[in-house]
Amino acid sequence: MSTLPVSSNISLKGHVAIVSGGARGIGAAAALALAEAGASVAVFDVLAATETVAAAAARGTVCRGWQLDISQEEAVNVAVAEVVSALGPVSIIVAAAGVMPSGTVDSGLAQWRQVLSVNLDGTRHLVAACYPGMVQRGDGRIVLVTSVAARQGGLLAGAEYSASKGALLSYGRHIARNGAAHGVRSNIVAPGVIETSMNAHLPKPDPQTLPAQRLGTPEDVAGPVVFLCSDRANYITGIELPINGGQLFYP
Amino acid sequence: MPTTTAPSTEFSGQVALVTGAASGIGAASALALAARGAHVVCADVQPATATLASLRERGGQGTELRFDLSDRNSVARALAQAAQAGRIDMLVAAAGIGFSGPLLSSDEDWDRVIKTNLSGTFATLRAAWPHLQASGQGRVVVVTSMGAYRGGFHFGPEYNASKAGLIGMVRHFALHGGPDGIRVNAVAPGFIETPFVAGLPYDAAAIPLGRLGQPDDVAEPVAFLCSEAASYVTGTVLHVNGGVFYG
Repeated sequence: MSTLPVSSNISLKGHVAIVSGGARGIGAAAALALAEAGASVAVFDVLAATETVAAAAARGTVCRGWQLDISQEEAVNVAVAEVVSALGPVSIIVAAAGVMPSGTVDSGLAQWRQVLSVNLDGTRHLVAACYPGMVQRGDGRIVLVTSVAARQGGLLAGAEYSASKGALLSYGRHIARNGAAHGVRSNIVAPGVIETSMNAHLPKPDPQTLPAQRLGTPEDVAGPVVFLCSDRANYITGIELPINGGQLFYP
Repeated sequence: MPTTTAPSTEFSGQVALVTGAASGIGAASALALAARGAHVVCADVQPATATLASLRERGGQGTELRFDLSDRNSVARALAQAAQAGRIDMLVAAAGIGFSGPLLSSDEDWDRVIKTNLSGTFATLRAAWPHLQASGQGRVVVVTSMGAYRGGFHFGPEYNASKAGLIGMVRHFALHGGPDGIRVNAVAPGFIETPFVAGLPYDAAAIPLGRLGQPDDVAEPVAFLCSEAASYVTGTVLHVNGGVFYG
């Protein structure tokens, strides 16, 4: 959390953002970058967001933490209502919460359900709680964090991880297609190998095999997230932006 | 400057070469990069007088460069001249041509568009490459088209073939440019209101975001791809089309 994400002078003043999974990793970097750009930021995480809140304070910005299990619809509804009452109507969602247990093609039904309940259902709960307000005000910017695994599967994480990320891609596009007429944009960022605590235990590719010659950092993802949330991306919706240092070229 | 750009200094001391800078997406991109402090070499077959005037009016720095994208020798001469600015850190390749015609184009139309859009952009990139390598932080953004993916109704097959060819070129240079710190990406605009498409019909109601695109809608993503915020983004195509097509 040391590097300041570059927001290229973007202003999100007046916006209220909820970042799921913002206690660490990509979510934390996104939360800090949004706060840096002037948004009021609420961090949703199953962990206490102490570090994110402190890092924001150290930069003279504000992030507030809500500790909850995002897979529980009622808990999400309560927390969103608290955010609206504390910070104002939500215009930005960055859905970065996710789990990635190791596994294979079949890692058992329990793990399948657990991963989908956090990665997919949790994101659904968050969007479902905020979307009507976005439509009502005619302003919503949603960014879902998926993975290169949505495109090419994975070798270390279980199939349920790839499936959840692929589902989020379709889900984000469904929101884009239906939300456009109501001023709601929805886009997907698809990180490659980003060094975070989520994958700290897993082997990584040799950086020299990537065109970028390095693995990614959470800040590498935060910059594009802020761009997609900003007015600079006002004509962009439904897209999938790979952030992978050239690991896989698409779309 | 584009309405969404607050002036910044993020590209101060850097030189951007923008082709097709006399009008449309190229002109807007030149302004967006200048607003961020870059010295912009505005290259076009037409005079870029208007672009340079608005750029300077807003405190930006730039120079004009005349070249003909359809003529490799002209491209090589122009790039040699551009390099006199001392460096090239960014190349935004927006220059291109297209015209409507029968589905089964003539050899002349096919050859002319491929030679200009595809071969000319390759010649531009080839000549700029050593300077981008020397920069240590070279960035290339090629303006392609949604038509590369979907075909189209306004221009002949050679136009969309040339734009699709550029995407293959972008991937190739992204793959090989990485070790030199060069990032290479494309933007694929949908229907953007520019002189290039003036008079052509397009139904804004068919666009999910409910309006035709403006040059600034593309210029901002171009500037984003050039920025440090995109430092881990290479080899990709950023679709800017109001939600018509997702990639």
